[in-house]
Amino acid sequence: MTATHIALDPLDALLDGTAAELDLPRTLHETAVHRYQDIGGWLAADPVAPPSRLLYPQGSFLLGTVVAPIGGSDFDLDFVMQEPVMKESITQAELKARVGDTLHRQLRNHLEEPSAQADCHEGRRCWTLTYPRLHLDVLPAIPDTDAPPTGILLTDRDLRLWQHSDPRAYATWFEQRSQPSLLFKEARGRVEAVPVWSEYKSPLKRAVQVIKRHRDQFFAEDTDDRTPSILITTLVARSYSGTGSVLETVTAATRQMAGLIESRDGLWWVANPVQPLENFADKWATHPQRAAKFFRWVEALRGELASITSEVGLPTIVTRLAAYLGEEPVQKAAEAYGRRTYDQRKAGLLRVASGTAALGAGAGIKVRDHGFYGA
Amino acid sequence: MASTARNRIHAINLQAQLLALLKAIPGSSGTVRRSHLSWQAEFTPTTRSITYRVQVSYCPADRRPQVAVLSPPLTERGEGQPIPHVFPGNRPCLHFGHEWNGGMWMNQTLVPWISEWLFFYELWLATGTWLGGGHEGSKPRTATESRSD
Repeated sequence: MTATHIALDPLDALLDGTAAELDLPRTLHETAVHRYQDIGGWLAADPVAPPSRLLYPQGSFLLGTVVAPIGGSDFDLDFVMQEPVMKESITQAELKARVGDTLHRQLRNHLEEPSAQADCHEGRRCWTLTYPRLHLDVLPAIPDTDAPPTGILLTDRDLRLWQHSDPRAYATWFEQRSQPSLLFKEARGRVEAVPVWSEYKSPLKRAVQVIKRHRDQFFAEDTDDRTPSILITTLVARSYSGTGSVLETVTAATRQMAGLIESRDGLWWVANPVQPLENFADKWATHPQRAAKFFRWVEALRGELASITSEVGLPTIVTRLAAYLGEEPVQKAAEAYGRRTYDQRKAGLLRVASGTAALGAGAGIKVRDHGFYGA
Repeated sequence: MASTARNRIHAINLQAQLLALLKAIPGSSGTVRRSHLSWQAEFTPTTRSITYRVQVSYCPADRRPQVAVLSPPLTERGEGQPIPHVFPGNRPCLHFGHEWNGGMWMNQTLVPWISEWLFFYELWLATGTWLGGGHEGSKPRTATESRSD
């Protein structure tokens, strides 16, 4: 028997469980990996394509912080297709067309295969391959020779200049924030080329998912001014102390996020942690209402969480959470939590603390197996 | 611990039962009078749960301890959804008849079961599903069985 009693905290479990319900389901994750590996394989075998071309995941799929969109079941996952070309020898429009041609050619050449059963259409910054319930956004990129080895330059139809980015270095930074203990091991927050699906995720990843979901609900009718995920992910990761539950991580984030926004020469600034000259809040200069709405949203989140934290009674807590994070995922999380607790008791792991009879694990009196009688 | 064989149970003295209960939840109170044990205690099953005042009454002749939630009153879930796993009068049914006898310590059995019942009662109010298992097809699927995609 372990030395201390670890009390159940249903609010923490519900936040964790709601994030798990909103995560990319395992089957879709596996489908996405298949599609990505198939396309990557075609590109590698393509006689027309340069051999050092790369295709890899980026964004929330790579970070493990995907959240289901409100009211829909389709997931948007981001990938980078990187061409081994120097900036001086290609324009953004040429790169975009080249990647589009390549994707269309691969789909035509492999017509009979499931991974080719997709529409491919052009977006502002990417080509989107549309499969059932999955949209794979492929962002054309070239290496950024000023930011080796993983820096890239991206196209944007609406902007004249190349956009700097470094999704792989960012993912490594995030993974290290997520599991700081790994810093002391050989694995050093390694980022896998193929994200691995996991039922259990670090409190930081779950906290990012919860906060992104709250953002989606808050900005449901105002998507243009919605705070970008990369900005949220950066602020939550920076406010994470390296330990603590999902609830503690979300709470710390709601208290610290606003204070982490810098003002440099009158400009709002959230530096990319792996490219300090890139400002994730650069759009706020031309759209100042977005900054105002961000601060309003964070304050709403902080207030709501503080208020829920002071509630007693699981029915009230579930109802309050459902109002902010969505009825369906919160209800499912509550049911999964009950089943898990029941499984724990069946396994002989559920204990009550001596002195209070509060439920938990670790030390305490074992809740002996039994059956509640009466239908 | 007592043998479970019929008629061979070494019943635990009621004064000893009460002492163990009083020790299990400091601040609780109780009496033993004429072979009748009565104990009252406050239960807060989790840090986020309501605090319930619960009474346990036990008379060895009745075999089964009677458990009642004194306050706050247990509530039904909307119309037509009676509380699951209760005896008439909304008294929690914590166990099957064969799962408890007078040779078992109440602080080791009934006390954890009361906390657990109250926990699943609150989750039932929240979800409409009894997730704590028990009698008549109300056993939930396990978390692994029910993981959906």
